[in-house]
Amino acid sequence: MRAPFAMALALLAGCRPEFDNGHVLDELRILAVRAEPPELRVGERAELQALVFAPGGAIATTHMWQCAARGGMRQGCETFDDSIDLGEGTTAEIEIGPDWEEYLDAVGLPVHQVVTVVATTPSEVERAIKRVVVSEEEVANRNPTLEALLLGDEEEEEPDPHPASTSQSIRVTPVVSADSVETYDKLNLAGERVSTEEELFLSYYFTCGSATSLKSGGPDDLAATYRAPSEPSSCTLVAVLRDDRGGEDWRSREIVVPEE
Amino acid sequence: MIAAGGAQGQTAAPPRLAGRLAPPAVAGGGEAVLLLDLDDSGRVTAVEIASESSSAIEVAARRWAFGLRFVPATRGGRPIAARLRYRVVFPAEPRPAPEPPQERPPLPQVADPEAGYESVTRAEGVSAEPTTRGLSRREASSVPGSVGDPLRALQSFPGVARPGVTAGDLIVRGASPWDTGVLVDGHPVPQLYHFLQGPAILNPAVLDRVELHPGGWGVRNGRKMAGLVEAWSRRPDPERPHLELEVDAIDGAVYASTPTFGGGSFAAAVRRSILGDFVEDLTGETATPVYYDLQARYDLPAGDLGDLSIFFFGSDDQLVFPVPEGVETLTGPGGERLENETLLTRTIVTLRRSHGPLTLSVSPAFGWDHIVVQTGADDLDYRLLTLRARADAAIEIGGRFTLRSGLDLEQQSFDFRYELPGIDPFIGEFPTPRTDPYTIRNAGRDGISLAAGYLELVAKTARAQATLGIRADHYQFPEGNDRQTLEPRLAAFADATSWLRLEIATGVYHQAPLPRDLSGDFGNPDLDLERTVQVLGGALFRFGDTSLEVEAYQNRLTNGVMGSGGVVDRDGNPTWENLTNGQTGTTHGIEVLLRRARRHRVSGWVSYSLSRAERAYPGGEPQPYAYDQTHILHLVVSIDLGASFRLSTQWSWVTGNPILPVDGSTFDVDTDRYRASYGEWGSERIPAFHQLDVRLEKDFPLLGGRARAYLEVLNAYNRQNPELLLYSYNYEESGYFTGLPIVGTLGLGASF
Repeated sequence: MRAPFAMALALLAGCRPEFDNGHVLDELRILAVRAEPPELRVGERAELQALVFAPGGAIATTHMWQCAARGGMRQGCETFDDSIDLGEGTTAEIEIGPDWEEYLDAVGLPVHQVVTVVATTPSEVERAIKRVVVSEEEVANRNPTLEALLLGDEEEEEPDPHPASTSQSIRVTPVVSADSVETYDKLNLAGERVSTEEELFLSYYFTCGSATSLKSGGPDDLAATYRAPSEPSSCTLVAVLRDDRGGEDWRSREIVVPEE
Repeated sequence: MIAAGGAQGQTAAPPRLAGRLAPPAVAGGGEAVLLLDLDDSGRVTAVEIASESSSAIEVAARRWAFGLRFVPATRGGRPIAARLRYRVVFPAEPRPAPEPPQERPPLPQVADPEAGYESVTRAEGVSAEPTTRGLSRREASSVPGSVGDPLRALQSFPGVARPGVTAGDLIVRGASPWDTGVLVDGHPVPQLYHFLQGPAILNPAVLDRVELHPGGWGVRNGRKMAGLVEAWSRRPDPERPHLELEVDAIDGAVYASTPTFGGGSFAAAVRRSILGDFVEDLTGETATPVYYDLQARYDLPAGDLGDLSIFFFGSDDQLVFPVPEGVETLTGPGGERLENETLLTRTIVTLRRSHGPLTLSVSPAFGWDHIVVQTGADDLDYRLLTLRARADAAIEIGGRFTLRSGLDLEQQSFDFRYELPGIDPFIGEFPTPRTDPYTIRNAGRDGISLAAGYLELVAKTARAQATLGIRADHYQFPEGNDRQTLEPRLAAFADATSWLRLEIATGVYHQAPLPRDLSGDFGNPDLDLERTVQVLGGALFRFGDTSLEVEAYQNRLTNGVMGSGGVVDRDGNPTWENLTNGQTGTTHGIEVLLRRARRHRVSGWVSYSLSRAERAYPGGEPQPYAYDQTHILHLVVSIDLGASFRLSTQWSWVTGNPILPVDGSTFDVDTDRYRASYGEWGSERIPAFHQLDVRLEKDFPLLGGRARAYLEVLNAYNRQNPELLLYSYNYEESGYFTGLPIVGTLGLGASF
């Protein structure tokens, strides 16, 4: 029938459900989990720090578990009997035990230690997974560093809050440290090493207002334009920087549209 | 049309021949069953050959039939259009002692005087295929939504599933669209419809007939394992010129034909979409869906060589499509743009000759396809050159047997260039440090060679026919891989009584994997052929002008292509296997088709399919296949309102496709994406689809020709039909993209 031709065109005309894009912070979110360092050798320890957002000033309880299984675990492990309870709080510490040595040798490739993070408020539950890389590489991955988040004409970050007028467009320029983009070796299936450069990408989240670029990538394309709300408000803008190997960093700024 | 039995107190009279025109002599002689469309002046406007006759007979029959003139049929004393059915006998050359024309019977024999005009929707036992469902242009116009397109109206037949909202593919008996072949004048084409469920790529004006073989088809065709659609182009009228115009809110088309020197004839048609030009205005988004198609056919009697025809057609679909923000189910992350162009052309030359009991045909063909896909992440450019040749010879032996043999050859040469996201070999294992890149880039040139031969024996009596055939195929894939198959097939029917025909068929069918599945980057060049064994049986009841067809079938799939996470050694290198053969499946069902011929005041059909299509992985339980639709019901009713008004309606009810439900999600902080967790595949379905379409058409004379105006209302009761289940970024919210709301369209057409 020809009808569906018009039907498919109707896809453009708004016959689809409307959803939030996920970058407006209006519900409980785990935005990032940073492991320091992001890549370990057997026997080393890493500090974990979760970035949790709870709306409306709610107090969120955060809990972490270290999964016993190797790899996989894309849905987390907090209900598994053999998971290691890392306790409550937005920070925790994990250790890669000697039992990983044999596993690492058997796989012959870097492997992942998966951590499950669960945040709860009286009305919401949010779950996330974080992978910490375990390898025997000579040079381990390091977290990228987001040194500053410049708003408008700032040459360096000024004390928050940053004033804005209603609906004002503000250029957001992230400053990334020079050593954030690292070069490392990949192994192809034949076991050959291929030199590769990390690709950074940056995600923006905000409690009010909007942004032109919700997720940006590439060393020269991390900037965005933030648009202040049309009414007096106090907004939080969060930027999370990731490399493509599990390294993370973040920064936030406060933007205020005062009463006139 | 004609009212049966003087409905509403009106008396009806059939058309009568107004002059005398003896059938000409033809080499070898023979007979043909013709369906003649007459306008309300008694002029023949269309001729269909409803029998399997030699090319010489077909040519002679058309030429002869267009020369006939009739006193028009009437109802209530008013002339009306009609369809007439004839069996005409052509004497053999050299003719016996000449007879004065006036002493010969002026009329050919009417096959069924009481049912003298009808719409043929099923082959009359002359096809080697056991199940043949077809539509005339006239019948197709009774299907609202098809706008006279018989290829689209096929989707209202049993066994044809409702396609997805973003694709117009033909889904036959629960199989993948790729599993059903589409042939134009005997040569395959990769697409039947314009994009986004648009109209067929062939203007209905150039089509002679369209047939759907949902299963059990014969050995003349192969390389597909489900159904088969055959479209045959129409020989332009060699007697006088014609012009047809058609325009509505969707597109506009022109068809013209003219006689040429030497008894030849030429026709050309062109069509362009209109609606897409208004999309930007309608939606505020930049999108340019545009399609074109073009056809041309030249016919020339070539003396002792036979009859020559050259058919060219081309189609071009261009689409720029913004993918909505937040939609993850179309082409990946939202906010990107899809730009696509699909261009295809085919040139088909056919030379046919009949000599006594022998009929020969040779048909070389040339094809050119060009596909371009570009999004933010994807870049694909694919060019395919296809050279094909078919040769077919059939000889009648003793009047009871026909032996047919032929060759079916094809050479594909393709150039490709792509830069596409690769298949993530470590699903759930991100980050995948120091392993394969995510982007696959490649370019090159390669080819596929296909060769087949077949042998078929048809044995027939007055009340039965059996067809036994065998087909041998050779597939030569890139990288030196080749496959051979043997496919035996059997079909038979018998007329148990004058109103009951019984039929059975069984056969073996193979097909090659999709081209991308044979790619080393995305698939596996060592893949084997997929295979089905089809078994069907049915009965056809005829009660006057009403027929009831019931058919049960089962298709068993083996060697189906499925995903693989394994690593294999290819040319000494460890490589992801990606795909392997191992899937099995069964599709079984029962189909019912109740039809009433169009010559009645109220005509139409009821089509119902009950089916179950399942697939299973090794060691796993069968699960419903993605195209499984348990119940498919179509009610198509056409009513002659008088005064040349006709009202047509179609109501459809279709079970929704199975889906993979999401039962939770976890945020992956390393990729900034939510990972869904899923329930059991097929444990939920999209809600059922139902819709009513209505069409009102008025015929009227115009400048010596005929014109028609029509109003179509689609989704008349404004059902919000769920089409796609979409999720929010974290899968906590879901909602359906719903289909077309109530829409009306006006159209105009004229024939001269």
